[in-house]
Amino acid sequence: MIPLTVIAGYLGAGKTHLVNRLLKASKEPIGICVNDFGELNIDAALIQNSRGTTLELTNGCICCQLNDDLGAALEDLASTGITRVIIEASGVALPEKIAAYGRNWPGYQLHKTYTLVDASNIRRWLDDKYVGALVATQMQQADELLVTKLDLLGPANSRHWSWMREALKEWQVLPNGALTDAQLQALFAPSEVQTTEAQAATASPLHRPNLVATCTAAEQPISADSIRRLLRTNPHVVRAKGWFTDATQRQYLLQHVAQQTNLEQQPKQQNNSKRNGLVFLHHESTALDLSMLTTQHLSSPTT
Amino acid sequence: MLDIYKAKTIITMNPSLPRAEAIAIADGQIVQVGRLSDMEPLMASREHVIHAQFANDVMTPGLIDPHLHPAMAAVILPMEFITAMEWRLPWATIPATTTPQAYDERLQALIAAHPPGELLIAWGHHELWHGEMSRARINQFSSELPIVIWNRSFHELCMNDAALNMLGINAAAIGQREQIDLERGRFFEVGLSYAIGKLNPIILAPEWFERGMQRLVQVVHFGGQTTVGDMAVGIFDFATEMATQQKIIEEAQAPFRVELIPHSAALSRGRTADEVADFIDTLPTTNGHRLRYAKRVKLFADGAFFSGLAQLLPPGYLDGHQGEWLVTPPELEQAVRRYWQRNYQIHVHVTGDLGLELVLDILSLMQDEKPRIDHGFTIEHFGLSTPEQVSRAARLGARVSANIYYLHELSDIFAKQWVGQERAEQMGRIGSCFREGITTTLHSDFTMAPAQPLNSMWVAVNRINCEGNVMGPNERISPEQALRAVTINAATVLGCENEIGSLRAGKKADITVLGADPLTVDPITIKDIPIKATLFEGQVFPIQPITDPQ
Repeated sequence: MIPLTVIAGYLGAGKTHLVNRLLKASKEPIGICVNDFGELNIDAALIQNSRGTTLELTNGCICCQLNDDLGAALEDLASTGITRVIIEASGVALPEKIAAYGRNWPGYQLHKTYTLVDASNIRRWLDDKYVGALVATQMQQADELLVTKLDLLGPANSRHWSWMREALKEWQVLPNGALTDAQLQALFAPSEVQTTEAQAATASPLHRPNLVATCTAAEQPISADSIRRLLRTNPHVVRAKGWFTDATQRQYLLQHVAQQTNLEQQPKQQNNSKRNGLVFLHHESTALDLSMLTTQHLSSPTT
Repeated sequence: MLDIYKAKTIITMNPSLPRAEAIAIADGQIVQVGRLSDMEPLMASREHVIHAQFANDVMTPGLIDPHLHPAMAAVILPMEFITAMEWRLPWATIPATTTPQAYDERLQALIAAHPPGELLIAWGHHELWHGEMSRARINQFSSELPIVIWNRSFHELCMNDAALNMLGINAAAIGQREQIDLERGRFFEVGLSYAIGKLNPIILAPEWFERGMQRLVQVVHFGGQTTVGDMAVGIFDFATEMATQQKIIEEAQAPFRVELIPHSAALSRGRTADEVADFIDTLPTTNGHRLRYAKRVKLFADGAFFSGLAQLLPPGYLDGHQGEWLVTPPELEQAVRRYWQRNYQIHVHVTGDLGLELVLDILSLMQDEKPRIDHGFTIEHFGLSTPEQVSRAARLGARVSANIYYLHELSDIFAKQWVGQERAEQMGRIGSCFREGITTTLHSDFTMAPAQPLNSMWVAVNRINCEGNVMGPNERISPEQALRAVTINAATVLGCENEIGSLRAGKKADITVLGADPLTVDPITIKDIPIKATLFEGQVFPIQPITDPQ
């Protein structure tokens, strides 16, 4: 099954910018569906082949311009041997509508839906009589929000931004500078990441100012209670996510946002291909000691 | 050679001479309209024939549907119809099928008559009338013939085992999917797109598409039309659409012309927006006799009215759902500007009142940037609007092309579920358009509504919905206004008012021959007036009375 990632967001949110970077950085053959070739900034030397609405690049990536028939594009891409597909939704698309292709198109599975948010214009768009409802829905339907253009905030917009920041529960900042390969990797294949502490520094996702990431491959069994305890006693952890397995071979999905810890037991897997790995995003001023993650069950249950 | 036709009465739609008794035609052009006795000097100087075959009939200018989609019709018309409502098609009247048992009987009859091994697609299934559809239900009638049952809304389809096998759809290829219920053979939403992808090699194959286009020719003629607008050339595939229309309409000399309006966004594949505009600029150089481009373009604002995707002003949809934009407002503005600056006549698909607000804002901005007076900017569909918007549209010089059939088919359900009685009654606010002096026409958007201008006139004059209720009586128009809408106004909206749309010396001899006078009959019977024939550029094309139900 080919993982499908959706990049949504209103006009000017930086979708094409992100796609351009991704195309240049990709080390594996990925398929990217874009709205408009005209907006892409692909070095002519990178183009191996161009036929109609499809471009084949020298790094094996295939880029196709979307028309009304997204399904036809997915069929074409699946037949080329690409390993994953990224869809740049149009500025008016609802992320859910595109994500439904990941859930329903044979041969594909939905990886994640990102909505890009232009910090310098978001307040204006949310108040816009034509697109306010659309932009809000695009944000609501995302698995994750990626905030762009924070550096363009003027003093007036900064006030708006602090308001937005309160309103948004889960977000990352997408820096305007060059994304490292590792950062792109973190965005587009987090479920596959096998991080170790040694890689933590580079594998840290796109971070907010003053935040760092600490990661663990979580190869040893970890109890759910010890995870809860770690998060309760370390309030400077703003966000955590990942999978781990406990001593009884039960696998959990951890999601921790805004001091809310959510542990979801995963269905039993047939084989042993468990994907374990945890990422903790926290303020850089305080270190995070992961040694308290153990197999031990605490006597008093926590919530 | 002069051909003179006498009629019981001729409704000319020329306000200077509204009625006549004879029309003289030479070389496809009208030479004179008026009293037969006034044509004597003409007859003295030219060889002529006086035809009396329509002496007891009523002539009107050839009827015009300025907005339909031949390509969509070509895909759909080769399908079999099993429908809850009666459909009058040129080759048969499809009877109303209103029970599950009747549905199964009709399906069995179609199966028996179908060539073995060839895919049978039956359109029109409606759960409310025909009961739930499933793979097992179809299987019991045939395990060998591949059968697809397509829902009336086009939003869902169901297949039997033979069709699944034929298309190579099996559990191994599908896996577990929310929108494909393989056990019941049902495909919807994304699953429907998947199924259509598998059907495309069949329903877009040249033989299917050509057969559909031939049927479209019959449908257009059957509706008494001598000109139609193809209001989105390129909606499927530009090259295929043009090649097929060239063969089936131009070369086979269909009894009507098609005014072609390109769908700019559909032509953008691999081209920049400016390159698309440059390409559209060149299209009139390809014009033939029946297929014609001009400086016209089609753009899109908000979503489909039938699907509840029109963008609405507050209070919006009462169930809280939202409409959709087909393009962002700044992008629409940019597209309008591109063609406004090139002096195009711009046709914008817009269905809801918020969509209309945006479109009028953009038009207003264009008038500030580069004032144009006779610009022909046309609001296409015109589902919901406000009275203030109608006045503003008039001030800005916009025209209205309304799908008035929305009112007939949708006003009841919109009143109950989506917008309430007040707004539902006022969809298709065309009485106000006439009062404001807006050039207003009616269209079918076929296959969204029957391609029968008399039917559109009937809805506009009576405003009776499918439940038999009069909706918004103050927005009714007179029969004369309705006839104007589907003749001279339709011609104006297409930019062809100097050639067609009324009967006067110098215009093309396009005429529709009716069995009764639409301006004096009981308005409730307008849709039932027999259409006897059309004349396209002076040549008579009789219309056969429809055959008995199958």
